[in-house]
Amino acid sequence: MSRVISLTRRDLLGLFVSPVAWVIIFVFLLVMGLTFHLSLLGVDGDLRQLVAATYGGLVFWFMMLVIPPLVAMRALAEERRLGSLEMLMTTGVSDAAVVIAKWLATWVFFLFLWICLLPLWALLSTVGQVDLGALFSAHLGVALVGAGFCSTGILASAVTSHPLASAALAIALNMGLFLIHWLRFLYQPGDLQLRWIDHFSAVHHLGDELTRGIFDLRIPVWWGTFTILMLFVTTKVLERRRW
Amino acid sequence: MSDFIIQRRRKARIHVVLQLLLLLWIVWVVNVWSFHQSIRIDWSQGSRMEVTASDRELLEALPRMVEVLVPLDIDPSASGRVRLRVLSQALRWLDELSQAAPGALRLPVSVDVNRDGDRWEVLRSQRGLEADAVNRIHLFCGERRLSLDVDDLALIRGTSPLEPEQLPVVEVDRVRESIEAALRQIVQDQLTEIRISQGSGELPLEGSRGVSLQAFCDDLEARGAHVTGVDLTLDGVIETDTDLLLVIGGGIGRFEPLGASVRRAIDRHLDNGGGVLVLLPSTGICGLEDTMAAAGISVLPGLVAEITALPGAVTRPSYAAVGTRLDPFHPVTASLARDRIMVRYMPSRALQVSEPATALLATGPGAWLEREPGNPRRQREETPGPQILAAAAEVGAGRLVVVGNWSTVLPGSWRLDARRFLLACCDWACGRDLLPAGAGREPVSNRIELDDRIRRSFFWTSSAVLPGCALLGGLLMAWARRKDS
Repeated sequence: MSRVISLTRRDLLGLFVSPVAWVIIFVFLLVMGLTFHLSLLGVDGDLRQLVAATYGGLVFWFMMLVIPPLVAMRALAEERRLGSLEMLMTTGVSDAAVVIAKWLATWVFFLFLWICLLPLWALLSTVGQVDLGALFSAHLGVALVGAGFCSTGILASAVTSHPLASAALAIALNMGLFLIHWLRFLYQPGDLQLRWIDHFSAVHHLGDELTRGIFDLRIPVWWGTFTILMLFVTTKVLERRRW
Repeated sequence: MSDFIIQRRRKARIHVVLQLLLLLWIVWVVNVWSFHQSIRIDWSQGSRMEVTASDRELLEALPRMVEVLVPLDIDPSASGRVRLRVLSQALRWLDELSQAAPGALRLPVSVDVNRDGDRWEVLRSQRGLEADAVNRIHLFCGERRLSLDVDDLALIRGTSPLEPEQLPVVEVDRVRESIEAALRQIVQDQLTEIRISQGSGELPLEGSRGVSLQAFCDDLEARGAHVTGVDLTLDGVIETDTDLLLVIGGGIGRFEPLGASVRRAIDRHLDNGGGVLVLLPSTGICGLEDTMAAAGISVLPGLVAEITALPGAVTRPSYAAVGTRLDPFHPVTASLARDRIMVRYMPSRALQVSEPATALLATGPGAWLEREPGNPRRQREETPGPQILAAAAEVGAGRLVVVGNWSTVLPGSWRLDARRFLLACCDWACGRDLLPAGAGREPVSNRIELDDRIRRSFFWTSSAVLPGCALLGGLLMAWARRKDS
């Protein structure tokens, strides 16, 4: 565990000293800040609808789908390309620990981006009553769905040694997860398939449930198990060199 | 040696595949478990979507599957947007209930009539819905259907002559209460039998919507009633299965007062535990004055007049009576009394009430009883307000409600608080739940006024201050790196 923590710290430090990370933070805050402002105008100051409006639009989903792959693209691909991964393995750290540390660093950085938006909500709470329950559950949703999207980013990074190819692959995987939601138009309400699609749909989880303050145990169960599955597959991909 | 290595690699690959399959199976099992054992918590402010234990009990007690269809055809005006918000909230609540008990309530189907016209036509023909049955929540249980209007789901205040620029707002949110009452009612096997008196000059039940009671009857039927006409002058008998007899004292021509034999039949009906709702004619008598007098209700000569506000801040006396005072303890009005109700009748008779009757609805003190026909004018000798516009009494085992106006059942007037009040009267008089019960709740408003100062401060904070901090952080990091190197 201590190795995972120290590896995570090292990777996080690596992320925060990289200029790319600060460019990502800058662009993210600019785009999401303006989205927040436009959402506030769009809902005409109705703070009950603001959480759903801010964390449910196209810009929000673009950020959700693109940022984790961009942050994760260098996690393993760069290490393999530079040959530092083998060096890391010689220190006695297990493959699983490396994968978990890389994922954790990516996820923490991703969460940091969203936490940076909180001052806007704090400012808003000085002039009106923000629905804190809905805001909390929306951020929980961002964390859960983000965990899944970061894990696909780490998997893609393990599969290829080219960071851009890794980012493209991860975006494609995330897009697949995102598009599951649109399968629901093939079924009628009441169909079991529709309920299963809702069970897996990130859009349903965030747009219909968490941004409105509804927490459903299915959401952490699905994204938790999905993340574990992806990290397990990533570990096996790293272990591939042994067989 | 190489064989040994190949064998070990093969074994390792098989192990990896087995591990992967095992993990996939575990993921599947855990998700299937959570799919069936869902735990939902509402963290939102006010917990509007929290399914309580009583909601679960209601759903578990539903004997059959209830299906829901919501056709939407909302205009883009401010009023339309408010109505859409109410319907969306109702859809979400039905969705929550359906998730809590998928075996009792099917997920609601909503269809945009304009964008998805073909689908709407198919659903409409399947369900036997009218072309204008839009912007309502239709609940189906077997052959039975019950519809809820937006006005049942919320009390919406719109523009008025005094406040023409007032934006429509939801004053009372009754979504949960209305849906609960509708679910309770739709699973009942027995329909409420309502007979409407015909043959004395009353409006016909069917026909062109401008000169018939069709809109009124459709609304009653949408609430689980079976509405038929009865010509008391011919039959002279009110069938024993009648829950409510409606006497509407107005029509296209002159309303003929009911005869003595009809009055006796109505008295017998009341004695047998039936309900009677009388909507008084604007002038003359309805023929049931003795029955009403025995119950403590008498009709005063003349009409209620009031100073009415007109657009452009002009006021003038008119025969428009506005009922604003409700009996907060009577079952008819108890659920309405919390709302700021405004029942507008044009014109209305004034009633006098004594024991055992109860005044249900009265005007404010500004109204008066105008005895002289013609243009109303406030004079000192006229009886001042409040004037009683509706009253109710228990007569024997039955229930009698008298309302001073009949024209409220005309399609043009059948709306807003006048409609809500009359439906509540029907509900009580027939002794069944025809209407969504419960008082509802005042919606919590978290709206802030977006003045120029707030707009500016949020714009600069979101577009400059926060990204600027990130830029500064990046520059500091670059400076620190350069210094270290």
